[in-house]
Amino acid sequence: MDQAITMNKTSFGTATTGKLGMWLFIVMDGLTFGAILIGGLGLRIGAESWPAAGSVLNVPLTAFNTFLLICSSFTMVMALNSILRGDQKGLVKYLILTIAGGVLFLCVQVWEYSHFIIGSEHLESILKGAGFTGSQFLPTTGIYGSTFYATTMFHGLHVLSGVIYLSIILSMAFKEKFGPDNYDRVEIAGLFWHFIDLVWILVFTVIYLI
Amino acid sequence: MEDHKKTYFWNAVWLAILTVIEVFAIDMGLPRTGLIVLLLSITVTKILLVAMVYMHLRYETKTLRRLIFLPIPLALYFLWGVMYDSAFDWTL
Repeated sequence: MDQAITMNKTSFGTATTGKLGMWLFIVMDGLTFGAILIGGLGLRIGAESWPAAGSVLNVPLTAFNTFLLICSSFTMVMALNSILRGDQKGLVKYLILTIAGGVLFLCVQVWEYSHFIIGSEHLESILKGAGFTGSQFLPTTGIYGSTFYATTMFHGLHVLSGVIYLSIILSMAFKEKFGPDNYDRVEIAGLFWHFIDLVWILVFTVIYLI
Repeated sequence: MEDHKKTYFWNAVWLAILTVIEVFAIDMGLPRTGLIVLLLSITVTKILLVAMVYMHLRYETKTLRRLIFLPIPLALYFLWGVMYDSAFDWTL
């Protein structure tokens, strides 16, 4: 398979049409995330009260999740680095590690949600301290709950899409469909994965820390 | 594209260090405005590290970089609009 068509060199260098398409998608998706975060900030400014950082949400656990995504971004870029050197085994190894990072991230997120949805007396006392009633933290728990779930679930769906996308790339890598002159799809998938990491950095700060 | 293993590794280390600083910053007792400025500065730095190094933007042409960074001021303009709106609603 030949590398995809390269755009006008004076404007976009060696970027292929596929890569430019992914960048265009990333810009549009970034604006969607921007709208969700800005909408949340707008609601927050208007809210009477807002829980302090770390009072309801588990910051250390989410920091671990952030670390997971950083590591998976590193393994993703190493996967691309491997195929650029013609290292098929390296590509497969780093893709598997990247997918594992994504799956682990989702598992931690599901654990966090289940803890909030099942509820407990401990959670009830935390929520009471933050000005909410009930023993569960749900999307209906005020503007705070809806902002938290809308943002993190939208991001979680991106992680899930990324895991599926990378699994397809991995299945192609097993068949040795990539090489030093044919790495475009790996690079494009990598761009999407790094974008997921990039957005999480913003979500982590806005939703969990501020 | 050259082999940038070390750059990628140290970029991950810096991203992890900045995340740890962010987590500890919220318990440092900084004034609210100072804390927000600090956290947002670290976040922008982390975003630039991911975009420039992992997404290889620093190796791309100026045209492509402009194409990607131009919508950001537009998003900030929307933020300004929404902030005004929410303040208007709640002080009515």
